[in-house]
Amino acid sequence: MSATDTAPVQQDPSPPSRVPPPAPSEWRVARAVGRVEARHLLTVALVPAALGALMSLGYGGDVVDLRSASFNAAFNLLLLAAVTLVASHRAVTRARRDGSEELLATTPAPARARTAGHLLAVLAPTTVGAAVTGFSLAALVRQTATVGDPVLSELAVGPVLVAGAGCLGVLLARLWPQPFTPYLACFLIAVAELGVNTPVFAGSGLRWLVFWVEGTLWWLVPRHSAAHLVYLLGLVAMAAVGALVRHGVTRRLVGAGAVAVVVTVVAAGVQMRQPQEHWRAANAMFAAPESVQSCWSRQGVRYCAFPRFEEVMDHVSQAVTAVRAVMPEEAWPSRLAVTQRVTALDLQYAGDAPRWLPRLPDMPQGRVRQPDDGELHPGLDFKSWSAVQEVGFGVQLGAKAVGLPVVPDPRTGEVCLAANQARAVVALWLGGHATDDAGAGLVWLVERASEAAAARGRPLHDAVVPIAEVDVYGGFVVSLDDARLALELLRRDSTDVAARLAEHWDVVSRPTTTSAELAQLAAVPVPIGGAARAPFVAHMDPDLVRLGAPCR
Amino acid sequence: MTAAIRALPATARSMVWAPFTVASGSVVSLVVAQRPWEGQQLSLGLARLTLVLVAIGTALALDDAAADTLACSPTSLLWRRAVRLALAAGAAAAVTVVALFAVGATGGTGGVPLDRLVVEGAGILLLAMALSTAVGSDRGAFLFAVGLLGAVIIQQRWPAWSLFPMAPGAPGWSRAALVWGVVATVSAGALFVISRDPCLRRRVMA
Repeated sequence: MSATDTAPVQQDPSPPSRVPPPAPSEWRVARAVGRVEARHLLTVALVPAALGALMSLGYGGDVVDLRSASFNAAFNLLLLAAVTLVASHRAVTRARRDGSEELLATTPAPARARTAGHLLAVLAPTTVGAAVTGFSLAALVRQTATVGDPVLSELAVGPVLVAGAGCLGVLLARLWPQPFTPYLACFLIAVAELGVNTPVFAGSGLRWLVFWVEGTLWWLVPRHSAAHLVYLLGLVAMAAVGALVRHGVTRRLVGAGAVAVVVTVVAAGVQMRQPQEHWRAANAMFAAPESVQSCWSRQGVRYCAFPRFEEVMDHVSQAVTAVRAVMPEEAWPSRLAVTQRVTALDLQYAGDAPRWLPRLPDMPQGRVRQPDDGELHPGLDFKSWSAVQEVGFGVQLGAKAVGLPVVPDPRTGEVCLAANQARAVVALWLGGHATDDAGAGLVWLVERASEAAAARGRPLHDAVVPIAEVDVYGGFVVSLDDARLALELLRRDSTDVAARLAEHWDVVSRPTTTSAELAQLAAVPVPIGGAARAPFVAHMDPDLVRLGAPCR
Repeated sequence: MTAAIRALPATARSMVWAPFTVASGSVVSLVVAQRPWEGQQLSLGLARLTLVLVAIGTALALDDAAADTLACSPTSLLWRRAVRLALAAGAAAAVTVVALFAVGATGGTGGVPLDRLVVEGAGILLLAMALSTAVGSDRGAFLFAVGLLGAVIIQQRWPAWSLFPMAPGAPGWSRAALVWGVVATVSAGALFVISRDPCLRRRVMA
């Protein structure tokens, strides 16, 4: 028999209206219990909170979009929320475990006051959650360059999840005090989260009914942040009222419960709405991107960006300027347009979402390829996820300068073989100047290619390297030796190398000039391999990169 | 040995089977919901979730309310606990292996290396049982669940520390299986040591 069963208010079968409202002394007891239990919850919350804070460290060098960071901020608090749920349940059922229920029932602290105290205690981990969110945001801003503004209603989701988990723990403890209950609740919540945060529900309003909605396609599908926060607050209130109602119904509780239910239902309805005009605008990102983009010129280069992504283009523009600084003036393309597109990198975590988004008929169902229109097409998430993307963008600019294809063949998807061609090495060297991380992207590619060739038992000499990870940048591949030569050039003083290249630009940009000749001109060790005899793409899925004829 | 066998039915009756039964029900629900006979592929995330739930159910089943009373009985703690562990581990292993066999037999594994998943499951189960035996079933289950969830959260940020490879073809299955094998071995050793009679344990320590 639980303490709640033995409490006088529970044994009284009188109708709800006759249950006395809480006396002032009850609130005093609740506050006292809350203070003690808050200390317990705080102790338990320390490790998950520290882990959550730790998750936000180590982003140096990237550009982080504060909007997508806001959408994913709650992820860092999921552990804290789960721990709070279980810890709250264990705190409420402590008397049952210790066999002190009857003892507590004889004290002047009624069960309702103790439940209220446990609910108040949940404020402690909630405050910790808010502090972790604040710390994470501050750490991001301090470590990285940021674009966009944080979304406060999304940042608040994490702490509210913690509060909701705590209240749910108290409610479950009052309903089902068995030790397995909170774990089963966590399991069911996790199943719901795993089930709904999948591409299948990408375009469905139903996904908003789970507590945390991940933000992979936040820029594409409707996101009702404010309504979702209100919905969560309604659920928290329902759980708290439900726990208190367990000890008897009062008019005030009925009123609060009714308000909570109405708010939750209305917010749920609002957040599940899918306005037609939003889908039309989203589909235009694929069907007619130019119709929704704004364009401007800077230093002779035309830039076009989607709404809300103009700031990203500042970083793209910096990459263009950095490459231009080391490129001979005569080599600079007479007309250069940099137009944002949705790239494969932007959709890398979307899975088969396009299948489940019938209201986006122009969204590509298969692999997204960059158009072959002579323009450069950086993605929405430029400089966030991958250093390969950064070197890739620079390599595309270099490819334009040396006359190599900028993208794979649009019909066949093939990349041409530029092994042992000096101009390909020059394109890589130029690409390596795009950003501070670009060289690291090239190093990563060379390491992956070397490991893959060794794992397959093929000679390193025959391995060729595409500039590709999730997306393919540049329509050509180089040999591993060429890529290493480009890295060697990147290690040298760039002013000196740039001067030598400018002096011999006609020679080094010629398709017939070999990598060895380039090495001699640049005064670096000559690669020993020579031309690959049986070239193979070392580290890429054949679906992503297929090898074509030699580049002309 | 005879004493242990004689103790089996009584021990089984005294164990708390409700959490384990619910967890086993979730395993059955998972297999049915995945519909492997229709060509649906096994969801690795859900499979792991149910595995963890079974481990928690098993850990809670180890709760021995009569331990203090039985401490003076002529049967050693090692024997008494071995009976309890054998019953819990046997039931958990049976449920898990039958479920994996059912999925494997219908060809719905989705490329998940079942042998490595079994090693992972063994590590998870033995870790839960060791923690439960060491600090009490309720607190042990709590520590176990928090630790495991923490590991999942950490690997999202630092994939190199991955204990749960996220996809069938993802790198790291062999290393993760090795780690889980070590966890299983250490946990089994810990179970043996903490299940010895306290006086014997002290003698060993001395």
